[in-house]
Amino acid sequence: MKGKKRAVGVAALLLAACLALIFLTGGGGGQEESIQAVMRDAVLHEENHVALLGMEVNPSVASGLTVTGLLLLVAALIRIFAIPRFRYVPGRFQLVVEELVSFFRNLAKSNSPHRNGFLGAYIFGAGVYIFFGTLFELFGVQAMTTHGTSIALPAPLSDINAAIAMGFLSYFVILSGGLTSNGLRGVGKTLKDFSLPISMSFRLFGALLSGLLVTELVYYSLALSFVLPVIVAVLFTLLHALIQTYVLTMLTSVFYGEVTEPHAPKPPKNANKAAHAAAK
Amino acid sequence: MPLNIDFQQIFLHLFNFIILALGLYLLLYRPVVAFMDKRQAHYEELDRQAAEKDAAAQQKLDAYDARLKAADEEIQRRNADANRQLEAKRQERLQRAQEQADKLVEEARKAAERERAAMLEGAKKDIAEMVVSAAGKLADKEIDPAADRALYDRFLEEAQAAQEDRP
Repeated sequence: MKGKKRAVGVAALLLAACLALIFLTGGGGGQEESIQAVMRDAVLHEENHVALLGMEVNPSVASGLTVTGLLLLVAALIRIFAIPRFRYVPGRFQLVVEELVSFFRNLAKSNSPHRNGFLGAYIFGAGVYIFFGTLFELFGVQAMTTHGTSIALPAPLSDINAAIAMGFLSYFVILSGGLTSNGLRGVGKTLKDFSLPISMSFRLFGALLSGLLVTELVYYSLALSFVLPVIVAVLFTLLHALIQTYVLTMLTSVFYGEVTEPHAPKPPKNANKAAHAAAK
Repeated sequence: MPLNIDFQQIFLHLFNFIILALGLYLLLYRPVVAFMDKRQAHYEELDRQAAEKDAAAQQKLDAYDARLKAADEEIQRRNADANRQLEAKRQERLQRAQEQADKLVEEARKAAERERAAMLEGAKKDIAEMVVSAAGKLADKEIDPAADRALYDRFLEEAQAAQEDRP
């Protein structure tokens, strides 16, 4: 009985190996576009567009909307079914949710001790969006382009437009914090770092794009698309998701804390003179 | 635009993210933060109540300690009083016993004196009677030295016997 099972197993393995060799040695599969075209499209999204409400948009917009819809759905489910059942001694799921919220709240508190209510909510939203948006590309959700071809939806922030939106919004959040805390002085402090929105945008875009490009490169060759993507894609994507979430939220918190720091009034000149005289 | 930067796409992403951030804030961030703040307030309240109870217990303990100390002092004071009273009573009884003993000794001495006096008086009377009796016998007899000596010895023996018979 055992011998028969072993023989069937060996035969199945041999068949699988033959099929793999047939596919690997075949000429077709994934090489209809040149590598240059694939990379260029991954960076610029010039070729493949998706139809959305009568507009032709980049696939990342569709990705962003999908991620937003999924996240809001999950949040609504948690709000309806989980949060009313929260207990003072938390269970595992409650612990995960509380830890997620506490992480961003504490990040805001530690970097901006004087004003952090709005900052905590903002970096929570941004962090969740960057993390889950980056992980979204792992699922390879398919969408139909305007040319009628099928593409896997990329991470929303692998589009420079999304990165610019995120970078500039973060900058305006910092600016608003400076304005509400220190008035024009806060605005001045924020405008001093005028390169911040560009650096934040490009850092986010570059980091996420590099992951996408590596994955595209790996997927481009059929021979490399077995086993290896499990390591490369998952590992790179997870690392990018974690690192970029941390970097953007940390930078936003630090700059927000800097511009919302209360301005210490200068001591009057007479007081300085009196202090010098007393020292002499 | 270079790098395929498109303001429409940027605003679409912006719009999308603002909706997401607002939704996450309303659905997740605010309720969870409110719950955590409520829990923190609850535990702070418990902590405050525990501190109040601790302070009340400490006050009671201090009060009991003070009462115990007062009770100890009272016991010591009463012990000292009792010891003083006991000593006084002992001295009084001792003195009374001494007085009774002295009185008994004095009475015994007086009784002995009286008995001695009575005995001497009785002895004198007996001697006088014996002398009178001896004188009468002498008057009836002739003078004989041997008889005198025998009479004298007899007198002495009788006197000694009378002395020994008296208690």
